[in-house]
Amino acid sequence: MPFKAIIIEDEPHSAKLLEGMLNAIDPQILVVDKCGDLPSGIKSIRKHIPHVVFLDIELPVYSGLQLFDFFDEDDINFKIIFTTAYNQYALRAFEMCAIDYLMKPLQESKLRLAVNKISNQNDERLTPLMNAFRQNFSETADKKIVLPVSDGYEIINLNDIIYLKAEGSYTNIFLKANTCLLASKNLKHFQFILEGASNFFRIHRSIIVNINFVKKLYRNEGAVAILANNDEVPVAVDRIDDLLNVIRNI
Amino acid sequence: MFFSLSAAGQLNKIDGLELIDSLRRELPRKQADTDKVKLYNLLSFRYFTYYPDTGLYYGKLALNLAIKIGWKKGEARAYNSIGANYWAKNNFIKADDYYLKSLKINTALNDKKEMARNFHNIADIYEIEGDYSQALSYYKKSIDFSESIKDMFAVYGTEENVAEVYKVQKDYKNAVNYTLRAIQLAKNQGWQRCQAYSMVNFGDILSEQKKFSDALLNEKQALIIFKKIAKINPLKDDVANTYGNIGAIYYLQGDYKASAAYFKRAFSQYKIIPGIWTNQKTAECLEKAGKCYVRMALNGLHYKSQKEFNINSKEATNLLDSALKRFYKSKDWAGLQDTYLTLAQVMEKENNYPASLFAYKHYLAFKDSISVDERDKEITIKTMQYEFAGQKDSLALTNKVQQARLHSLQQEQELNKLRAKQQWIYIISAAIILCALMLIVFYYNRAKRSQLKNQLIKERADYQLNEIKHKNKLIQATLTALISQMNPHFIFNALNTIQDYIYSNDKRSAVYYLGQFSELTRKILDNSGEEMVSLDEELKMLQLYLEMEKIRFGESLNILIHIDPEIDIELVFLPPMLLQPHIENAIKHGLMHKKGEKRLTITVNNCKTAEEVSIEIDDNGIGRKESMLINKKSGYHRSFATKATQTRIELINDMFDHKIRFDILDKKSPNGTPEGTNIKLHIPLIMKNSQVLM
Repeated sequence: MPFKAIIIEDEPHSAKLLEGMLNAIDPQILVVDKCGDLPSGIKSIRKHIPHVVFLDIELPVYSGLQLFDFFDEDDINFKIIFTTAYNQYALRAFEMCAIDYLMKPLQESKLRLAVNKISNQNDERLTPLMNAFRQNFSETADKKIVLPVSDGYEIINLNDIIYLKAEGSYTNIFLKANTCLLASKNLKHFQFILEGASNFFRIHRSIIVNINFVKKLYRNEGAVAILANNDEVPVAVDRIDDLLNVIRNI
Repeated sequence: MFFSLSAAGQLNKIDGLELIDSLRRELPRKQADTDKVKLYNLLSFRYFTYYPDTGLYYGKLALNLAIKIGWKKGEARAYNSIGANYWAKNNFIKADDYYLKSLKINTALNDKKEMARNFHNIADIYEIEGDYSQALSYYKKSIDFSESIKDMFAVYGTEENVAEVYKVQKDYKNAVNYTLRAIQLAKNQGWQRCQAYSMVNFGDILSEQKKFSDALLNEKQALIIFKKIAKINPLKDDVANTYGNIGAIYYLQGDYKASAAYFKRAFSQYKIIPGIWTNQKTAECLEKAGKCYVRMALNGLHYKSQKEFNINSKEATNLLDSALKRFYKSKDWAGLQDTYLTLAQVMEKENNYPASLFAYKHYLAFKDSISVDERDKEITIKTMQYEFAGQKDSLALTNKVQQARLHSLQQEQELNKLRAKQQWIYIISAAIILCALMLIVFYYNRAKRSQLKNQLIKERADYQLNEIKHKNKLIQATLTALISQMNPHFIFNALNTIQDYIYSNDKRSAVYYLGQFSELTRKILDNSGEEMVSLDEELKMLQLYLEMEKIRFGESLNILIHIDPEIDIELVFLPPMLLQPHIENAIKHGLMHKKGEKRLTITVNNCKTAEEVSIEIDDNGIGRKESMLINKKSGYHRSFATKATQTRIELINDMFDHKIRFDILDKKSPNGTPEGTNIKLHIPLIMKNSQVLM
């Protein structure tokens, strides 16, 4: 049974290249349509009901991320693979929700991996990720991050995080409910995805805090911060002034 | 008397050195010669209590200048102050000589105030030389003159001196008489401190006459006044001195307990006053208090009370030990000598003969002036006592005693060595301190000299720093412009396109496109190092860039470049990468979202009136307003490079008289719908001379 795909991409060269590469990877994949902008892509999706949509972020008038504005949660019965040449903002959004994406120029190996992954994955597993992802774009809802865990995904409100602590190449995430999660990503990863969230601040080589939970700062052989859960964490001396500025500006 | 108080001397010292400092600061400002003489004289006179040599120097300066300008009054004062400094140097013959010279002039001028001063000073010399009758006659003359011109302070001081002379001669009746006069005068004038001083002196005279209770009454009244003054200025030593005086009187009276109590009070008063000399005073107080306890201990022995003896001698030993420490600190050998002697006596009474001998040897060590006979005699007595005690106790002790003697002898030897060593240490430390002082003075002067120079250098450096800062900002802005040109998005899209050509086996296109891309990259890198490039160069680079964009967008993008044929674009210069960000904006924000034909027009025109060329970048895109709305909705931020470009233009303009200007026009059709954006840059022609920049 052919695997139907739609490419939404405003540059004809990119679309042509992707189609060619997909054919080379798996002849079963059938690119049913190539669209130069989002509205025509949406029309095409409704018409062809594809298995997968390759979606560029930078498109004329409507960006790829606005796809969710045109579908309800339950409507999305297709997989999405985002593509982008260079967009730090979009990358951060993807990383926050553990969503796969492809960088242009494309690498065949990565494209193959992504295709294999979606053809083996069941639909239910992706839905919560996408929901978190679309929520992050609405202004009212709390921002969320998605953490892959052994049996699925953990979705966390950013506002529930008290602090993150590096544990080698892993990261411990301490939550408001006095629980703690061990994520299999290093602290640098979290620093990247939290860059847009102004209430998170790296106070130490191994610690990022949610400054809304900083209760007290004091000096005792170096600076220490006491957090809402009464944990005491060290503050690097050269960060104290910056930290105070951030707290003041909140 | 243990504490000698001289009203005049003490009053002279009040804040003396501070005054000198302020006077010296005054010196360079005083221009008139008479003022200068006055100041030299004042300085000379102020210095005599501290550094008579410096005082002499200033006195002679005053004298020379006064003679030069023929100012007799100044000359007389100079003689007087020189005399005072010689007096301070114990050269009484010369001092007398100068005082008389001063007196001669003052008599001629009939300056009674100065004459009174001369008489007083001459009397001082007679007093020191022991010619009391002459001293008294001069003092009294001084008093007469001072009284005639109502200089009551001088009268007071001189009366005090007269009393002192009488006291020395044990003519207590007259001494009391003059002291009472001084007290009355101070009281009438409201000089509380002087009054109290005189009362202390009165107390001294009374105690010498063994009228202890009267003496104590006066001292205690003085104490009340001093305490009142001390509330305002707690660092004065009046209260402590008076405590000491009272203690001494009680001692003479035989009331050792009261005496010890007052010495202890004096001790705690001195302790809070800063300074090296107070350390010596505290030691003296401890030693005196210790002596009191020795007396009390002896009294205990007298009344066969072993317990009383033990308590008091223990207290005495403690106090004397503390006194020793302080004497060592203040290097007061006389005090050490006295204290060791007292200690030796205590130990002797305690039957602790080895300790007594030990203290006694220390006493001898510090008593350098003692005669050999006296010393031998004392040692013999001590040794006999020592041996006697030994025989009395037991014969077996003899060995011990001999050992102790040997030990003492060894200690004496060591002590001698130590003393030699100590002397060396003093010499060396004195040398070190001297060197340090010289260094400090040297560096202070040098620092002062270089301060002005530094200020100049600093100002220049600040100026240069500002310049560098400005240049830095410019470089940064240039860099931002470069980065926005080599926008990562643009680079990756270009590479993506090349990838497609390769993938679809379009070798010719791939090679051509790669070549163009390399050419563009090279031009950007080359130009970024230049301050100015020709319009020709800039347009060539723009053409390359636009060609790449055109491949991306396909045939829908139309580019027109129109250049006024009158303009020689090779002779028009502008900062590099000034146009590209505007063109990128036109494409990214204006034309990308436009449906149908996308048109970009670049027009270079001559503006004859204003000596500049205008470069127009015109697009038929969706317009800025619409574009911003789309960006807001799209869920992520798309940056405009305009801000960085604007900053850069402002920075460049700061350095020029002729400014680059740019206008942005949002084009609209007659019915109000946006029809794209028009950007017009005005480049001054003067910019062709790249030397103007930086």
